[in-house]
Amino acid sequence: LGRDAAPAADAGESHSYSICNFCSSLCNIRVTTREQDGVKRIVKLDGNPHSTLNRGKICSRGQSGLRQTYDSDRIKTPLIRVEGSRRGENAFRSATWEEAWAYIERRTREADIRPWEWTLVGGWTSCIFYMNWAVPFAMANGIPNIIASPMQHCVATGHLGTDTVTGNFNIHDEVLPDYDNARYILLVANNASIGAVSTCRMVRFAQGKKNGARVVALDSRLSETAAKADEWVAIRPGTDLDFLLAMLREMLVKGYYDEQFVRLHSNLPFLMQRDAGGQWRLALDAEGRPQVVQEGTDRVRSVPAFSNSNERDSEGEAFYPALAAPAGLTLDGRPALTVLQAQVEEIDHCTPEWAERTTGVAAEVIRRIAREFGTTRPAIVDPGWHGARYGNLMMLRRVQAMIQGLTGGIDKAGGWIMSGEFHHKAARMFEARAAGHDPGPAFAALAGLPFAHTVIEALSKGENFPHGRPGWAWAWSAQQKAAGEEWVALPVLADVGLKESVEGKVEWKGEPYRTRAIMLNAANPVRHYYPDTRWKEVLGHENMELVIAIDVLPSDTAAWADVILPNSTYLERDEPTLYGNGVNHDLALTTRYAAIDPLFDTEEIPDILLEMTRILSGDPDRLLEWVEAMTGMPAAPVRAAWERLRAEGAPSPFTHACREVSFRLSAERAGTTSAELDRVLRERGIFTEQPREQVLEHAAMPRRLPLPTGSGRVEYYSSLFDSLRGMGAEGPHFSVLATHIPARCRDNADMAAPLGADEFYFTYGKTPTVSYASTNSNNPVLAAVNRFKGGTYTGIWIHPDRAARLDIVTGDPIRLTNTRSGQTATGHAYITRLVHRDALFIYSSFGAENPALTRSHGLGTATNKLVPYRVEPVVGGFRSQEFTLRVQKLDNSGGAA
Amino acid sequence: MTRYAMVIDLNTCVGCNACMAACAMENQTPVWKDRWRTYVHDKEIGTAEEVHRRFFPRLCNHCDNPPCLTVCPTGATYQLDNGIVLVDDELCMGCRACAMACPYDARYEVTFADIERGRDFYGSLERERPSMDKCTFCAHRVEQGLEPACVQTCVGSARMFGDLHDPEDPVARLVASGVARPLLSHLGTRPNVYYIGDLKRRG
Repeated sequence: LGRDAAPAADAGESHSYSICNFCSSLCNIRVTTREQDGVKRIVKLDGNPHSTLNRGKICSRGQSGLRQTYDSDRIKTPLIRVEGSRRGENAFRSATWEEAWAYIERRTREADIRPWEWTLVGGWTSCIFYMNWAVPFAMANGIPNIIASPMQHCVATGHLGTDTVTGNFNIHDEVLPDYDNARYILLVANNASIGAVSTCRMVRFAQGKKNGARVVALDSRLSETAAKADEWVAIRPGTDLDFLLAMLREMLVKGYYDEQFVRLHSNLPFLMQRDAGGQWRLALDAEGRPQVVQEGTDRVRSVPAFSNSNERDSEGEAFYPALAAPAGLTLDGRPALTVLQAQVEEIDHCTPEWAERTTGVAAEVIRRIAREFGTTRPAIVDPGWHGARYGNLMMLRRVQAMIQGLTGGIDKAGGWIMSGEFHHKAARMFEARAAGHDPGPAFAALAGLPFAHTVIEALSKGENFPHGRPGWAWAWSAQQKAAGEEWVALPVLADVGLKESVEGKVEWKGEPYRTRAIMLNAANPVRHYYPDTRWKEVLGHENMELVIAIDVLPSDTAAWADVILPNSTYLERDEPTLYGNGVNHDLALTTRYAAIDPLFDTEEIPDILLEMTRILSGDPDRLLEWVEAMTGMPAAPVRAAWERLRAEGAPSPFTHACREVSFRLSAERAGTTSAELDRVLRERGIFTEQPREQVLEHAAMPRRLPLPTGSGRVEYYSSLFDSLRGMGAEGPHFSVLATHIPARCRDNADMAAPLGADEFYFTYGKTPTVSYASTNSNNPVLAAVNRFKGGTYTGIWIHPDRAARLDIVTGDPIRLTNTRSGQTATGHAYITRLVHRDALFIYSSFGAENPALTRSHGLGTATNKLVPYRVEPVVGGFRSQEFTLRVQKLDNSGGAA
Repeated sequence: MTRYAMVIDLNTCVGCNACMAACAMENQTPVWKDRWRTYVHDKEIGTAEEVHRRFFPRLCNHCDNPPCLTVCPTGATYQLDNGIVLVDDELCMGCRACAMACPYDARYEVTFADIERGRDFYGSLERERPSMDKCTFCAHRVEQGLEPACVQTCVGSARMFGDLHDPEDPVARLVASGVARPLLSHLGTRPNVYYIGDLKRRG
């Protein structure tokens, strides 16, 4: 099942299959190797032609991926910080793995680091590919602290917003819209998934365009995506929610919705009332079931609390639920409205004219786009990538999902279609529930919001750990709440409280709850958490006893480690398991086959975690047991294979043992044998189980199966936010209905108030050539592309009308100063009409500092030198654009011009 | 007889540069000195408030009347029957006349130093001697029935490759329809890279 079975043809080319590692699209790739003088070398990567996910294509990052393997700057051996140096000084010596492990073990013992004093930091690759080992590792070793990136940037802030409506929380809970078949595509605050290229999305988007879809993009700059739109709506930064609320209101009031769909499959017909405190609540019957009115009558019926449909009441009787309650309807003496009516009431002030003021977009344009979108079928509002930016981003993504729901375009051609893997899991979960069984280990069996709840439960409850402590993030939130300070309700895998726990300010039952050791796995928080100084303070703090970084290249964060453990690149490794095919609508299995043996003295993640378990807990078996408990991979056969492979002297024996067992389990599930599964994957790189038509036929949600929301329906009234009220979470961010949350870029002025002559709203975005927060700006091919693009990529975009008033021309050195925090950064001006007059734009791909990244350090402006630590109250999402900047021209010596 | 041509639909070129990277890896081009067989301009166009951003891929146009071939003093530049213009590195003396004659900025020089660097960078190098260099429409792939590397990976399917002499070929149809038009055709070069404009579709 591994590399030994992929021999090269004589002196010729051979092909193997793998998965790209440069964004969460997980494109299937074909790797071409050539053997010369007994040395096998990767010469070309291509999209896997058999893949229905990326259709044989890959982007510039994917094409250049082999140059990461051959990057001369790679970490080639374990590195140990030189005695007497300080973290961040980049003074390392090469070491053997034995030395590295001995160093870690000695530091752990000497400093007496307790399990809860560890914090794990995982990047997105470790999350997607190694969640099945990383989380069991935490549980096995009693570590309740995991920071996962990019939760606060993306998953928790953005996806969770849409997920509250559709229930689609999963491992990388993204939706792949069916652009191919859409006639209208609306993109909101999102360049990343199209123009900065997620190939599986872009190939479909391009086909949709070729088929004649109309494309409208809301963006404060003419992004790569907006450049492909028929209409670029140059909206003022931070006001997308205002636009979308006006659009939602128009659609609800004018009836631009699929009436049958929302009547039957959403909770829009549910009855609501205001409670004594004026808060909206569902009007539930005595059994806790929602109630609805029968159309054309004032008869109130109960419907099942959890179902995909409202077509039968809880007695099983068919009826027609009303979207509007008759005037004057009361329940228990209090007025009652449907969710639809209450939603209109909640945002009734959000008219197109109201939105015009802040967005700067004419009311008639907003009205027209609402009409076009609402009356063209099928239509897609792209769910968006990357949340963060403003405190209102999660609400924005929620409203987008609500608008998509109004078209009926959920799990339907030309709309949002959830992945084959997600459908498969959800279907099994619902079957088990219906039969009254436990669905099984969380990571294998739970789909959607039930999975999210499990993750929250695991780390927020001290009773899950022998020492009784929840994660410090939860302890800190409780402490802040008790003190009447700002607190975060769901700091899920967030860094909220990390700095305080390092400084000894977090308390648990009267004792300080400290963080004294950190292990970073493929994560680069110094570069992409905010601000850079915060993480440097955390990692460089005198209380910090041990910092371990696992990576392939010397990231800015790795410079702050005591020990760096080198990982192989994705092209050099067999993965420990099989994976679903990402967001593909088809149900399929795939994995990575190593194209070459590792070039350097590197190790695989599962084996690293196993050795760490031995050091921390003395018993590596605990990891196997927890893997079994959480993922269902049985410990006994893994142990047997592991012992056999170890005896044989095989490299990374634990990884390969898991792979063996995983093949067997996957083969059983797919009704085949390990050998056959392996054969197909070697030949095609992908094992298709069911095409999307079949998946949707039995598992389309919510038409066939419930959605994994609280109610099983598309939720306009959010059951998740309803449940958070029990925790005392208040304010518009926690609203059970869509509501307005203004962006607050300045303390005493709203978004429509004029800016100073040298003042701008801050915006950032992703280039197509650099994965977010990654070190691949150092890739020699991508670095060359970036040089070719010049100031467009690495400059600071300013509109010429604004620049002229400041006497700034392209290439001028300028200083940016955050008007809120005083943070500053310098860079070079790029004068362009592609940006809104009120906005200043920077590509977030640059600004790496580690001089060991020889091709990219010192290039461009780092966004996290400008962004202060400021988070929103639901999930600790970063308010990474919620401020203004002042621009100052510099002379050549760097002083003010 | 086959006549190869490329059509580039500017409506779906998203400026991702996958073509640049694919070409560099396929053809072992000298990325260290920022030279490319194909590259994508990122241009701001339009007047006043009518601003557009256009991604404009460039490459050798494999002209029917190639000025690079006409000026080549050694006969190193030659053309296959299928229209693909190539450089014979055994005959090229690196005089750069072709680069000056080419109105499409499609040629650059590969030196001994590049070859040395290339061996180190790519592990082994297909070419052994210096010459002027340019896009070959991936003739080595086309021979095997494959598309050029840039076309194969184009995430917007903006690049299309085909045979102008096959009336059923979608590329031939697009050219015949007049929707795809060549660049600088008034120079008489009779180029075989055609572009579908991206402004007509917009309001």
